[in-house]
Amino acid sequence: MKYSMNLITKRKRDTSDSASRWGLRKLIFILLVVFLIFCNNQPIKAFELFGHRFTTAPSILFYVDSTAMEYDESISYGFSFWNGHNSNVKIDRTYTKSYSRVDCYWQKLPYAHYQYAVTFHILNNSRVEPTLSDWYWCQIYFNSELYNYASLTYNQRKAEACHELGHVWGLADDNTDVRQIMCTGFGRDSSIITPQWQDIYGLGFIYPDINLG
Amino acid sequence: MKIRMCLFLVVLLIFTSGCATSLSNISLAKQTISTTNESDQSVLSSSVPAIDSNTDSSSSLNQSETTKASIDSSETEPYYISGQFSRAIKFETAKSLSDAAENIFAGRVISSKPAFYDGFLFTLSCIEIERVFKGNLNANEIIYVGELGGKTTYADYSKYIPIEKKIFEETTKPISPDREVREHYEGYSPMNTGDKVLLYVNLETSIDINKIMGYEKYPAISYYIVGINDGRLFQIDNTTFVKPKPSRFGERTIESFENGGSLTITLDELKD
Repeated sequence: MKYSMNLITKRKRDTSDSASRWGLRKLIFILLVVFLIFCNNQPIKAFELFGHRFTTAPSILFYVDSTAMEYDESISYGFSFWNGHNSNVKIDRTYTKSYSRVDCYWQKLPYAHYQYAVTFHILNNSRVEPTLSDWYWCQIYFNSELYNYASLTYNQRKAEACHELGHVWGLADDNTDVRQIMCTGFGRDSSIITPQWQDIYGLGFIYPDINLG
Repeated sequence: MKIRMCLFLVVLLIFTSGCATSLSNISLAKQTISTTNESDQSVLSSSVPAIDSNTDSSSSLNQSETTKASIDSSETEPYYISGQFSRAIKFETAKSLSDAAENIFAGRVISSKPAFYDGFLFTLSCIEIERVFKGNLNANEIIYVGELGGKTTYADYSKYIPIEKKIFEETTKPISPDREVREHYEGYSPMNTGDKVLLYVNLETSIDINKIMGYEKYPAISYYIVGINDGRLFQIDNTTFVKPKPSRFGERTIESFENGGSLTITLDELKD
């Protein structure tokens, strides 16, 4: 009798344990479902693109015009930050302008007092609208009024050069995250001077990295 | 067991549908991908085309290296150009604009003409001041305001902004000299004749008039707009001025003024 009572008690305990385990599992499942619904309905927005790109594989050369020679080092250093992130994308310097895919100038921009620089995309000897057309090469005009020793630190000048080269690759401004190089100058976190994961992800989207599959 | 299976199936279904949504989101991630044919500027109309959510970005991005772009298939459509800025500051409120501007006034654009400056197209607009809210300018005075971008002919654009030929470039079809070029920045284009505007301006002191080309009798005094496009609002009724939302080609459409655009300023706010 005593044995039967023990057995009944044990069975009840087992049933109760099993029920609580099952309850826990249900809870985990429900949480998982809620989590997945939440995650999968959030728009993934990590970068912004023009929708077009270089007509060639972008292993390119840049040229610093005599007007920009004073800031040669910040420009070159800022550009070099894009190297090593994508096997298709590489930038090096040339001293022969006709070979250059990125020509850099430093000058006054008319009636523009709040810009560090402007980038133009060029195809068939004409500037183009980069949301409509691919391009062969680019011009970057650094604004002499702001892109100078007095207004920007060395790191800021490198960051601005790096940002402009992002436009050259085909990345557009994106101010949704201040911790990315393609966030425009006024909003970008000052510690960001190199391409971040969002920028590199965007670059890989435009020029798929064959080495990464 | 049945309940577990059901739950598992539900999770699986949600996950797979979610993945599909995510993938489509990634491919469309903030893109301004054209649904049009590659490199064809002729498809533009004066209104802003909608972005087709079904667009496969890779169709334009994965072009072969030998792509030969023909950018001039239609001579009747404008030829669009845009420059990409990197801004140092943005003025998003009436207060910040007011603090930065020496002059605030409402006026009417009497004329707008293109000019060129050291590789840049800009527009010089002649404005008749109607009402002054700040500064030393007077009502009925006429002043000149410069803005980057504008409209011109391809003949003038290529004459004053010559683009040197690179050894790797191939010219396919030449663009007609008479074709209209429209250049914009940040989705905004300069003022047009007849526009009624509210302007936050400062005196432009750093322009070297000797470098200006394509404009006869350039005025000795001209002004620039605070924050490029920030300090320029368009009158929509007797008491309200609106900064339109940016559009893809800088066109000001009805949609760009909807819901107060990017910034709305009323006469009452200006009086304060």
